[in-house]
Amino acid sequence: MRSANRFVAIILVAIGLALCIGNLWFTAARTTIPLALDLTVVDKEIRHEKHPGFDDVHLVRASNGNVMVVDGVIHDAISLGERITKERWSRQLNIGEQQLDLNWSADVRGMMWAMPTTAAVLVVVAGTLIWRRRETLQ
Amino acid sequence: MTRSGTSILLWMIAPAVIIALVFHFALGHRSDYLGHYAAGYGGTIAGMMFLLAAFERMPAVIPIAALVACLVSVLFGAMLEATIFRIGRFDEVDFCNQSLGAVLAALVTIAVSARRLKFPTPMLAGGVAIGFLFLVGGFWFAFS
Repeated sequence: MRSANRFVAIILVAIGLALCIGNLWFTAARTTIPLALDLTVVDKEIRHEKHPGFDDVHLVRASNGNVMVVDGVIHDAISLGERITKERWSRQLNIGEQQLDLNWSADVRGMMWAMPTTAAVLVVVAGTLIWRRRETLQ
Repeated sequence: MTRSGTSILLWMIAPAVIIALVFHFALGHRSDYLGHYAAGYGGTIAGMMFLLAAFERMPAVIPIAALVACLVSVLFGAMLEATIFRIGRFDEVDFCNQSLGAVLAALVTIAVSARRLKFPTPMLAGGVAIGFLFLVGGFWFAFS
């Protein structure tokens, strides 16, 4: 049973770490900083969520059919028909002849604190199973 | 409730609250992130109490059963996010947060089961109540 506990704990921690990395990636991708882009904007849309103005979804549709979720500041800076280019991990987004300086969003900065802490808590809870002694409370 | 029973309930609360506080202070501008995490934890830990009751006589099955229940919870959460809670679009971050709650609930369940051989009804009822509180709190943070 102890080996089953360890095996399952390791699987759960692996899933948890993947979810933490997913959170960091999805929020970072919305800033476009980690992405390489070369596309023409054919449509953009704002969809309201539970808290309009705070958690709106900003969508940009490219000429190749891809739909991206981007931060509001990027959504506001681009216009239909404009070509957008940038290099991967560059902090500069080229919008036609204009250039937009990119920064990590509040979501990314928050996730940079929240996700390592969450991962640490998962590892500590799992660690009590992986390295635990044999006694059991009645 | 016995001292060990109280410590078991603390196991169900303390790790979850630590993460909730970090969400609150680091991502306070997006209370829905905390809400999804809390709802994922609460719903899953409440369900896990029934699993503990069902497999009390087969403790060797509990780790695998908790893993399967966690995956079912993650898929159920994805289904909810894709259907009735799909307000703007399927939000990958919401999905990750509620799934993190489910994963923590499974780990806590296994940690609890490794520390006890019997699960008296008051302890299980306390676990369900804790889960319900997290679930209600999750909805409040997600929608208020």
